[in-house]
Amino acid sequence: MATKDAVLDPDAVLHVYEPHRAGLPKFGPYFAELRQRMPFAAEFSKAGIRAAHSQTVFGQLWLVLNPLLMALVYYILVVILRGKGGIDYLAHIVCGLFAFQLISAALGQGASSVTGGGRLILNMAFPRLLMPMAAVRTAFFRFVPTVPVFLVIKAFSNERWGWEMLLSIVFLGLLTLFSIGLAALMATLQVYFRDTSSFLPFFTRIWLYMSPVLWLIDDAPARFEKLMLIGNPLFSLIGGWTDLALRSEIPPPSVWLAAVVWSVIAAVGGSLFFMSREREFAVRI
Amino acid sequence: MSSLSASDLGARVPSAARPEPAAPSDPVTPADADATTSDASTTGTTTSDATVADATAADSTAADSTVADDAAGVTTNEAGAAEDAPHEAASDEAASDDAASDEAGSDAGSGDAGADAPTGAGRTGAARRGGAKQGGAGQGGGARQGGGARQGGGAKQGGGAKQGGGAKQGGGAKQGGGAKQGGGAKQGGGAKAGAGKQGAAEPSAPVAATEQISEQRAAVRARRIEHELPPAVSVQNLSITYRTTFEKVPTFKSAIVRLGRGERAVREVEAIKEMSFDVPVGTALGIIGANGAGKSTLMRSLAGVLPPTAGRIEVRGRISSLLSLGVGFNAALSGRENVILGGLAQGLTRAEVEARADEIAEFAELGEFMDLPLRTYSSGMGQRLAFAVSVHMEPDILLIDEALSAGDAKFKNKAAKKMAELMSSARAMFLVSHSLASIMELCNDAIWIHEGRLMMRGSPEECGAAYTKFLQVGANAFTLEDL
Repeated sequence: MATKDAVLDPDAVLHVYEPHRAGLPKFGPYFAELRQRMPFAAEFSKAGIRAAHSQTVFGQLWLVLNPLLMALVYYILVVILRGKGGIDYLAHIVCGLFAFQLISAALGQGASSVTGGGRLILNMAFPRLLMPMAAVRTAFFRFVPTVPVFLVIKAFSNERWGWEMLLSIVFLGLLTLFSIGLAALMATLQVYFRDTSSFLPFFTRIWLYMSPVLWLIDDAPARFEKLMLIGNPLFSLIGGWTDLALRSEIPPPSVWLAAVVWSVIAAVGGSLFFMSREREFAVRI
Repeated sequence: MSSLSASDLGARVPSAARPEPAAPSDPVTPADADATTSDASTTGTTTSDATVADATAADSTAADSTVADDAAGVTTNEAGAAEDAPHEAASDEAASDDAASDEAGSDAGSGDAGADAPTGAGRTGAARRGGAKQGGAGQGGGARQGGGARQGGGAKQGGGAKQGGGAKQGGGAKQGGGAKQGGGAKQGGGAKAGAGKQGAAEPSAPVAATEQISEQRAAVRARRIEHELPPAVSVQNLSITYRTTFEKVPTFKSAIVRLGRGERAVREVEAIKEMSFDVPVGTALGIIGANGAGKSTLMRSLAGVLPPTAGRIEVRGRISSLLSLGVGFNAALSGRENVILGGLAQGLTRAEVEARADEIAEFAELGEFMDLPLRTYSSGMGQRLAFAVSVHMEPDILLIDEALSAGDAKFKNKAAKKMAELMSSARAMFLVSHSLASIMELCNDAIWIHEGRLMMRGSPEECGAAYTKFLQVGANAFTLEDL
């Protein structure tokens, strides 16, 4: 459009800013803008990943090194505690731990996404949900390079390869959805209670031990299984992921159901909570 | 040099810097020619930085009316070489003025020296010109001291050359008023009456810049305000109250403690109180006010960042805000990557940013630095890049908060030109600045706010004058620059 027309256009888009209680913005325009601004979130997260290791010797290799070393640490820990190890066991740990790190990174970075993005929040008007979403994207793309590592380790193990492994993508999607909800929740909490991010590492560590990452689902006492299925989202999410990706076994329907329910609840609940508060963020930061 | 006529001088040096008709006073010793070069800060780039001629220094030295030193002098990027030329030039200048005197023209940067100095764009933005003159014996013993003229060459935003008044010494104080010079250079006559001080006459823009400024200004003033269209922005009874907790950083612990005591630690700050105004299409609105007046809060609420506590804001069109430079930049990435990132942060699509990337790079004049990480940049380079990204948008409504002061004098000049260009394509523009000069330069309407209230709406000159009067400082170079 010619500039002149734009200047004189009497029908230019009207924005109205009015006071609001802690309510939700209108979904239509909100999500339209969210979609429109998505490239920024993507670029923001990409930039973060590129920048993170820009001054290290190993550079982007750290994307693989870091989870690998972490898996090694946990492997040593578990071998010492249980007194037995083996490549199969390592494959199990790697499979679950890498997925878990997707969640914990999303939690950690999500928590600081809003408070850490002060300048952006204060000077730009955009759907704030982009911030935790960018954090989840970062976590996701840090997870992706670990998949080949896992596959290589699996190749040395006795686990079966099969078409069922492809279904694990569904669980990966559910894990990501779940992460978005949690990241949004943590981001909101962090704005109001800055201590949140300090508690978070301990919380995630306990959560790790409660989830079937360092132990096998079969190891869990049967009476706890139902409780875990309902009470711990990661029991179904990571359990299902491990079943498919590592063992090529299709998990029982209850696991699918629990995983879907948990991730939808988290995503919808977390996002709505975030959106209901986000217009206050600029005042709170 | 003798060909330099008085009228020539007039064009370059606003009247306060020109020698006044002689007034009786003691002859004074010639000024010290090299007082000036000390300031010559030369950058490695094309022109020297236009540091503000230190008027206070001039004041203090001149107070005893023996030395008409004057700080300003010629400083170009070849500062050393400049030292000789001015002598000649200055005396010529003095001679050509009716203030002829043998003693005249101690140091004083000449107009020519100033004008010739600049390299690069051929603009004299960065050259400083000193014009301390002392006439005296020749003319009925009237000693004069013209202040040192600094040549700002558009250094200040909008290329508004500013000029502090020069007071005549002993001759009864004369005060330069706020007369506007045709070329758009503003002149604050700030000499203090009777104090016998030597005001530092401030900058006169070089010819080229002056013309360009006047064009800018004419363009701004000529813009038609479309009253018949719905207003671009309508602010209705706007109030914004910040509720902050007592703790600087709210923590879970303090929340629990507060919860236990059953108290709520909130403190309300009313940043904007019951403000109403309409901004028709075609307006370039300057917003002036002291620190804490609510200027930035107002801008943020217009941008949709801060929600109103009461009242309503209607904005017609896409808002582009230049509230802060370099938002979203990542220091570890290269300039080129940051251009993409910054552009997307501003709300452009990827295709739009990529289409402008080269233009932005060219505007920022970073050369090979574009491919180096941002952390290797000097702060000025970073600002230049940020500014370049911010202004390469097609805004409907443009909000600018003190973002004009990027880069060195030469870049400022360029920035000012770009601002004027942006304004001509925007439906409306809001400019927050402490520099009254740039408000007058770039705006055709103004509001003055104080402690969250709208004090006045009027032309930039009216508002500026009212504001300045309100502050009871009087119009001088400093109020024009720094308030």
